[in-house]
Amino acid sequence: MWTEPTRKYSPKFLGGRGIDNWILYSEVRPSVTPFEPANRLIFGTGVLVGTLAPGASRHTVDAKSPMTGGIGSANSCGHFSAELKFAGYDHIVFQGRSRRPAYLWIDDSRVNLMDGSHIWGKTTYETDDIVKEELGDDEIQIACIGPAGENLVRSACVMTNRARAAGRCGLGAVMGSKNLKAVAVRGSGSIEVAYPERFMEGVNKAWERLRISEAATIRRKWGTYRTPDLYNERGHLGARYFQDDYVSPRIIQNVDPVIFKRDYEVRRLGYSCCPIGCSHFYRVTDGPYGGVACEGFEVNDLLNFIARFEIDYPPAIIGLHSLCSEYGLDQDNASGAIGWAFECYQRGIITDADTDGLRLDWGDHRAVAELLRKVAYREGLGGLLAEGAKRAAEAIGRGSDKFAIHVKGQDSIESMRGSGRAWALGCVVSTRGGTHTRGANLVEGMRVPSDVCQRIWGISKLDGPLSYENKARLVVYYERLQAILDSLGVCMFCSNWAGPDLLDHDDLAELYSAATGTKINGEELMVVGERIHNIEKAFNVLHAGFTRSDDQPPKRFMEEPIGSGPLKGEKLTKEGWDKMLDEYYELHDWDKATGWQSRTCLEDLDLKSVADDLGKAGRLPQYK
Amino acid sequence: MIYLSVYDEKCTGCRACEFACSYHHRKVFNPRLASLHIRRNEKQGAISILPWAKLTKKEKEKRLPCDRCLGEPEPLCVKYCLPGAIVKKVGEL
Repeated sequence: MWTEPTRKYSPKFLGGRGIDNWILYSEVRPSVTPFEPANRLIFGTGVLVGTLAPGASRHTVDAKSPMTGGIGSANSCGHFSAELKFAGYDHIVFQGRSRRPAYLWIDDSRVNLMDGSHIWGKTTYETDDIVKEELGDDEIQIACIGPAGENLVRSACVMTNRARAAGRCGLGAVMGSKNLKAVAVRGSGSIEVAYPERFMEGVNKAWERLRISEAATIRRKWGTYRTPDLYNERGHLGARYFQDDYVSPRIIQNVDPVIFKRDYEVRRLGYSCCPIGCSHFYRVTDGPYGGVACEGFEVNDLLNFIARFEIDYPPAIIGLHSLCSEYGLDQDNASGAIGWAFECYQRGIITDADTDGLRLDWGDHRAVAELLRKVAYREGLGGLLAEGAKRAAEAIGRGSDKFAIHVKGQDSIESMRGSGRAWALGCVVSTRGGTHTRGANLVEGMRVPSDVCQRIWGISKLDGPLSYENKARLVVYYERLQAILDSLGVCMFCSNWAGPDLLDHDDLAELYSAATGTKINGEELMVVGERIHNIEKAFNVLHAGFTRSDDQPPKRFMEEPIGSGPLKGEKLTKEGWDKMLDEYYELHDWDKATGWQSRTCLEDLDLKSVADDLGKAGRLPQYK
Repeated sequence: MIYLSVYDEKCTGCRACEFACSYHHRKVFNPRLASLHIRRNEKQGAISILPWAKLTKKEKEKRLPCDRCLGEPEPLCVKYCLPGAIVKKVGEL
């Protein structure tokens, strides 16, 4: 165990996700597989975490991904990140593997690897209780895995505060492969900024913007789950595992957000200086889910449980959310593979003999709950589904790969036929394999005046969700912005990802400059965002061998049009997609034929060594 | 006189009040120095706001006493509490 200053990585890679992934790139060789001891598991806070900057509550966990074999990166909120900063650390890098189950106890400068045998096998809820009890402080912050991570389930996540997940990419399984059950932190130090008065001026402006913002105000009241009917009409809901992108309005009525608010919501919740507090705590008092009390659920539950399985019983949604948190399962990935199994069952590809007699009928929440358990413990069919839909389909064949919805091997929760072209492009080209937080955005459906469009994104107007025009530009903007946000540790809901009136790259540059004393403007900060994005891209090219063919949407979204609802008949077209993808590569200065990065692009970003690595591997485009 | 009214049920547990309080005292961010404490029970979804008057003697020893944000136009814990869980009142207690 040793410490080293982060100065050698910053400001070139800022902090958080940027530094995490540079370390990952530098230290993990392409031949290393995700569960080998030589893989790294890296926790990163963020430059602004621990200060009063709004929404600076995030941490990122990174490793080589068991889902894609490329970059594995997931971001979460909670008090963990700030606590780690108060203890005096920006990052934790784990390498190797403990001989016995262990947990790391960081008490300011006292850092010990503790025996974790007694918590191995426990759920995340139990682990949280036991560790706090034995360390004698219930305000310690804990990041831990559940049974799913221990059992190397590829959809395992890393949980903090019992409810917040660094979800995608199977990072919980990497943690499990290191026999690391938890990281417990207590920090009592102070965070100083370079220019306190100037910093607070920026902070005050930012808080005021968030206070009056319409987007923030709505999210403050409702959280992320607010308008299921609009999601449905706009093609975001993949019904019965994406067989259609429209759910019966009767189902949507039964899960009206008002029902959750009126009957189950206990309170709103937020973490480290969050001016929104989109999270809520729920309690179910009776029925089959009586006794469930948990933080969550989110709009993801609408996509993952309500639409995918047509479950319209509100307590079940809360219950399934809680089960995922308890097992340490990323609900997006886990429910993706389970959805694929339901469709296989519907088509007769798998039968009662494969499911141990469990009937997989749409709408049956008990079957979903049972399969979540089987996945977490790799029991029966759960062992297959623990690999994710892509690998499961490859294992059983029989044409099931045709409808396995994944991007680069990771299950996808996003419908892409009618939900917006920037949304689809962002989800597909995302470095971590699918997911809508690395370039995808919803601004394309908003009404934004042209001067604002020009100022923020450099385009004259937004053409509506179904147009292919200018979408690559929007995606590239948000790839860069998201890389910055994750490296500063700021929540995307505080940024113009959530609404054009919220924080943009200039605002973040001012906060960064005042906090660190390193002067940088918004444009320069976006270059850092591009650099971070390019590191991840290079990691993918070297480790997973991704090319242009991996930047294609799931076939279903090009071949099967939406069957019902206002967007009936809509699908992605090959022509539109290719045009958009060409434009996207051009904006990055990447090669259109291979999708690879050019030497000039990398050298302009001060990444010559990366260009050399790609050249040696024969993965730089060959120009005539 | 100025006093603070607190409403636990409105608090989201974001602790911006603690961060702001430590900034008022020392121009640094450190919730453990703050004159108030937010306690969170994650199992029950319960939160308690403990202003200076409600802190135990032991807790007060580690923290800096509340001066009602002397020199500030309004107490910073109130200013940054967007949910309105900490409210400034003027008058006799």
